[in-house]
Amino acid sequence: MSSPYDVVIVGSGAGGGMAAYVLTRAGLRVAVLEKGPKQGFANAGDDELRFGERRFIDQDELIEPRTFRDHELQGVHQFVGRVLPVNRSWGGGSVHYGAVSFRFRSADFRARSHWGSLPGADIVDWPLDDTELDPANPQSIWAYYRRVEKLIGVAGGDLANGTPFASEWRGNGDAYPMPGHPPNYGAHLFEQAALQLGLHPFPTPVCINNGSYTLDDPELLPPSSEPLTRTGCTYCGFCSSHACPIGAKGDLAVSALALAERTGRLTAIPDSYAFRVELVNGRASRVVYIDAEGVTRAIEGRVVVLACSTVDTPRLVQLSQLPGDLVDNDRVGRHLMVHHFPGAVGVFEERIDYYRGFWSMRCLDDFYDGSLANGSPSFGFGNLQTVGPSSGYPLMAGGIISTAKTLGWGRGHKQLMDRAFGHVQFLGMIGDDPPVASNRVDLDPQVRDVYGFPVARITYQHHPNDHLVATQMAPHFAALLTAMGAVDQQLVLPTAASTSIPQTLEGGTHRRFKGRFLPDPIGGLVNHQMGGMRMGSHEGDSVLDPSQRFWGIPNLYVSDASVFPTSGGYNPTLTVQALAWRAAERILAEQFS
Amino acid sequence: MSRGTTRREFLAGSARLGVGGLVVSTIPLTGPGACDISPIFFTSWEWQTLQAAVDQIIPAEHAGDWAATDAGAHLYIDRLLASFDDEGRPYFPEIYAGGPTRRRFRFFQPLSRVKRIGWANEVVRLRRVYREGLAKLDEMAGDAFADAPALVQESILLSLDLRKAPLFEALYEHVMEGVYGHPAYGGNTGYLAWDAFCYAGDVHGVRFPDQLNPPGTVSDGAWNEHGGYAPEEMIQPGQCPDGEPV
Repeated sequence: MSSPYDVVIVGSGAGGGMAAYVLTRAGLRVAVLEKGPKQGFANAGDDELRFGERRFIDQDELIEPRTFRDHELQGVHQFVGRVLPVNRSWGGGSVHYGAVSFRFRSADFRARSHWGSLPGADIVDWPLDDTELDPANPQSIWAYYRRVEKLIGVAGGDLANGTPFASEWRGNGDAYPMPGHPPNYGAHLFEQAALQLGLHPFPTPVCINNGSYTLDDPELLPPSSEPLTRTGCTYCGFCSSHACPIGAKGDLAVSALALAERTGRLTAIPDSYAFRVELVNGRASRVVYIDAEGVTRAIEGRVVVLACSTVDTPRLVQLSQLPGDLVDNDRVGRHLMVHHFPGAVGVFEERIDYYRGFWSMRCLDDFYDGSLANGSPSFGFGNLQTVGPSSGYPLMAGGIISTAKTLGWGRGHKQLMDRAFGHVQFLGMIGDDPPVASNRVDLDPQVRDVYGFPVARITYQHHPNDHLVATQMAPHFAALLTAMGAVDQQLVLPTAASTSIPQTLEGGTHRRFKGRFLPDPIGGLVNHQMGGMRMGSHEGDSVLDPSQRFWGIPNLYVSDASVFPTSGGYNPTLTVQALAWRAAERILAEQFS
Repeated sequence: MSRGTTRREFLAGSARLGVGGLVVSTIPLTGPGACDISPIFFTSWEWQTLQAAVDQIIPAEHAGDWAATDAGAHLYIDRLLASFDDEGRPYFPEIYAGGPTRRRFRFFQPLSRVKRIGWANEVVRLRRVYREGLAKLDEMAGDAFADAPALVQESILLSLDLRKAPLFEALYEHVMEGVYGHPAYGGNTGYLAWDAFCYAGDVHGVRFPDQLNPPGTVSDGAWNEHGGYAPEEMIQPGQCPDGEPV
């Protein structure tokens, strides 16, 4: 076996890829294990069947199913298949996500102080101290956000029109690297309707190039490295669920990892499935994995970083059976959060063609702190967005295949396609999900993956607050869609299935009787997943310390959304990347200074 | 069979092969524009049953209308089931098209070790589902399903839908995928289904084929260089694209 790497990172996504970039740039030798393939543009493409239906790079239930139950009382599990899917390829979830790149607000990091307690949930403040939230501090979380935005190339909104929180969220002179994109037609109608209703719409910030984007900041490029130029977006629409075929989406593979490879200190190990972390004398020593040929191998590192996503990081920890005197194994995997997704579908006479452009092109924050008309809310709401073009989403706002699959069969199918395909616009809210201890990831006792290991089991039930939020938002969705000119509309309530966990109710997503038009409660819409490896200020209430390091293991870190103590009401990936940068700098300070 | 040669006439001149046998023979034309395509997985008997069932999932609804077989849904299904044999050995393992542009879709990608395992298991399962399920259709029809009146075919399929029969689950998913997926996978013949709903589909490199910039000139936008939608197109209501997709 070769000499140990300085750092072994398991997972090449937003958390692992960004950490690999910071650490290699600082001079460390880093190995990154990725269970999916390392693709080039040749493997991308506008192919709905490959990416949506056949799960080319998505969680593939033929390889690694997951199981689901909504409560422990439901028995071992209720469902086996695709649950909370995240991409498996070089670049991780950043390859197939919608590229929405929001910063959290300071209140999101101070959820307990801002909202107080909520019965049935464990609302806490994040273990970021006050100096980390001080915009004047060069090591603040805002400084990390700013660097990430520049690195991946975020095109953002003009917040000058009275947008709530604009001054706090984007300080003076803190503009996005690129201006906001034009709206697609549905987002254009949304923008007009919102202004008419006295709201404050703005372009959804995304790491998608608005025109070509050149990264030439020597602070961000590896030493003596050429500038990195990527082309502009063509609004093809095959964005979320797809790998971008021209590199206009700032996924980790074309941004941070491409730069890390330029240092010559990054070892990429794709198609390799880690299943155990081994300790020696209480320290993480090596990671055992199955390589592309099916051979079991081990890799040693002075520091190990787990960045396998919210579901697979707790699973890897549980598969590793770490000693109970070092890790509180019962706490691992708890406080799983998804963004519950109250929303509404509008149907229009004219052709909207929601699939032009990308996942979300306009949004607003007027309801972020709750609906003002309904008194003071007890917990956060979230950012309200137009959402649309994608593949593989079992609803009408997916691609043409998923639309057809939603509409039933037999005589009438084609008339429904005529009315629905290209005629709908979806609005949804990234609903802040209260952390509940019984919502968790553990190992399924019955189902194994093709590698022979127990699969992850998700136990999840909505907190009552989620339904409250949906009820309070319903009239606002209706008003927006009516002002947009919708001739028909349907509210989407936060059943389990409005997130990407399965619908177990009778009449759920698998019902496809003839003559259906508007969908039943929808499944598979939002893949956001947070929590499970909660970080905290005290050993008694968290798995990780404020550096995202295991309380009992001095050289084992986590860098993905599983560290989130609360979910916030914005898309999580930019925060994952900012935290990864922060954690990587702490690794440098704590392990290599 | 509502069109062309009935299966009875066809079978009158040929011996029925055993279930599970691999038949490579020419099937009579069944509709306008259909060509001589022999199934790889299905027997000729199953092939007729499958086509009848597929055309109930998306039927022609008036004279001159298209049905699922016109869009090649049955060809898509046969091709998927022929990707592995009954023992899970790769036969035509064409699961994932190439990329990134339409021109390269037909160069299918090799499967990784775990993808091969996963898809072999799935295709072996699906082959059994279709083989047993199509035989069951005949049983429920009391005779050849393909010769039963359309309303009988429809009600048989509806009863399978209501009880979530594995054949129906597979048939429904596969017909939608075959009809509305990219033609590289064997269905959506001539982009028929996309044209029917004014859908341009994969736009990279195909929407602006004659606006590619000559060498040495400056591109005025990535959509011209790579294909896609220009910004001003985004805020216009959608319309049918001009002409046939390339």
